[in-house]
Amino acid sequence: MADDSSTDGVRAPTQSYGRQNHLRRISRETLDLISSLPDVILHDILSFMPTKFAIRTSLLSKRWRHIWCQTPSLSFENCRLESPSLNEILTRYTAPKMVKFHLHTIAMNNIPHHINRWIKLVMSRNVENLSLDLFNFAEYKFPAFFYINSSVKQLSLKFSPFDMVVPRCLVSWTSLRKLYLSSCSLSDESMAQILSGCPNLERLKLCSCNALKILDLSKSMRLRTLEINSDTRFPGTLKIVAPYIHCLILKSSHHLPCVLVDVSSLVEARLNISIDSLSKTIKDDILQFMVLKMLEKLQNVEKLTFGMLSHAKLRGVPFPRFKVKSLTLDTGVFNLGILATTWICKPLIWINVGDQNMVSFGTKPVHVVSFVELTLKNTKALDKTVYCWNLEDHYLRFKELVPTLSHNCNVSIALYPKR
Amino acid sequence: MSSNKIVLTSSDGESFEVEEVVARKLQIVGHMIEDDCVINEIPLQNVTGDILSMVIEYCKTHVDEEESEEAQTKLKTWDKEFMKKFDLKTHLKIILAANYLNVKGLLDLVSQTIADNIKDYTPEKIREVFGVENDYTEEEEAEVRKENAWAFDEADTPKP
Repeated sequence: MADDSSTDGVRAPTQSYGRQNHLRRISRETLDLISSLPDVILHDILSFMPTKFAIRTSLLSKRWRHIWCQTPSLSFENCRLESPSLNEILTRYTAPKMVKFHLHTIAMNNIPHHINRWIKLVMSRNVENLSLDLFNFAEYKFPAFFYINSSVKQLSLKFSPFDMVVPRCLVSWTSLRKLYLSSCSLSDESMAQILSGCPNLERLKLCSCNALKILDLSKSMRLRTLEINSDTRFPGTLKIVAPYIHCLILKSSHHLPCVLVDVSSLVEARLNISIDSLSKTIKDDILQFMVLKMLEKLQNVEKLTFGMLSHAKLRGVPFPRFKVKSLTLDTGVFNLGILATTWICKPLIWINVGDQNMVSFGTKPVHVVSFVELTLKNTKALDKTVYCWNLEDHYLRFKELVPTLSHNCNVSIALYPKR
Repeated sequence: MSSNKIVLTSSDGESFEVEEVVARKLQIVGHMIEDDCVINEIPLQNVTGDILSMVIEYCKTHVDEEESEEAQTKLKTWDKEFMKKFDLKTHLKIILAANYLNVKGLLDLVSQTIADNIKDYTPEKIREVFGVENDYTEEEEAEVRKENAWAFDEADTPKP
């Protein structure tokens, strides 16, 4: 650690750093408080930055030379795995127990060998949170030992050609609670095999896993949250059987991402779906039928959030009655037929006025007001409270319109400008 | 004093009366409560009153950790503003206190804040900001650079 007595006299000033000048600017009191922190705190601090920067701190002083080697979390972005200097560094990593490991690769050479070595290393340190983003490696297959693990609690895989290996070996991820799969070419069989190896799974998120046709979660008894995020234009429609989930989050920019077969325990649903482009390939009546089928399954949820379920073709379609306790509406919905529904709401209604969609859908404050008015008329509750938040540029204009609104509908309205 | 209030006393004798649920956020206190060795007043030897009051403010705000997205976003915003109120020196004192009192959320928050401060600086700049004295000889420094060449090689990490 810093030895105060040697600060000024002993070291000759070097032309490159001018150390003496720097030291004079620092008050005695703050002098190197950070280096005097216990190792365990320094490890924590270094865990919160990309490992490249954490390693650079070894240059600060002798105190710091080996601190990074015990950091429980490593994070590599844009990393070329074949770099010999990187592999040398890895040999000096000595943390006995890892909390988190994130790897995003861009390299082209000798990938399987290198990735396997890293996976082996982090698994030998009982890593809890593992995140692999294997961009550009269609040829890679996970080794069999990857599928047998009892320490990983959270696993995130992106751009992985998952399907090439899974069916051939047993999956046993006994501690896994959260699983995120993104852009994995996953088949129904592989998904089933993975799920059978994750008895403790609580949260599942799938992004652009378009090869899936059916997602059967009827044996995942601990699964509570399912999130499906779909951004491609022509996927197959996914059938979801998820009798145990409490929360469903659907995001899709181009289509209805799924058919809900069984979501009988659902308490909360967040839908952010744009079906505009779908209407070009599907007839209006079929589209309406699909939307209604989906909404019927959500009738009993307590908390409902609608994003941009927007389509003019849905205007006037009689939606099912909802028995929600809390209803949140984002601005994208203001143009559409959702108005026709009946809400059996408890007092809380949240309306996101400042959503970006508002501009892209050409929504004006006056639309929002008439929308709110209609929604309130269709809401069967005595004490209604509406919270409008995120009021951006439209704030002032909207504020002017509010008195008429609250007068007509006998409600209290609270406005929150954007933070 | 009602039964669910606990008095925390700092090393410099300042006392804070807090709800038991707030005190429990300090895991050091939580463990004492569970082990039944709590009298009404708990002396906390390694933390001064000014820092303890900040820790308590954090714990009061985080007393019900709601899962909802809105609640989380709100807390995150509060966290950011909370950190902005203090200078580097205070951050370092809070992190020591959070470690001693075992307040995991606060420890992570301050670690993240300090990490954000450090990561964009060159080693020279970090030394300047935190007052770290470079006790390497030039040869040693060259050696450290060499053994960690990967971390100092900009060309190895093309920007996305």
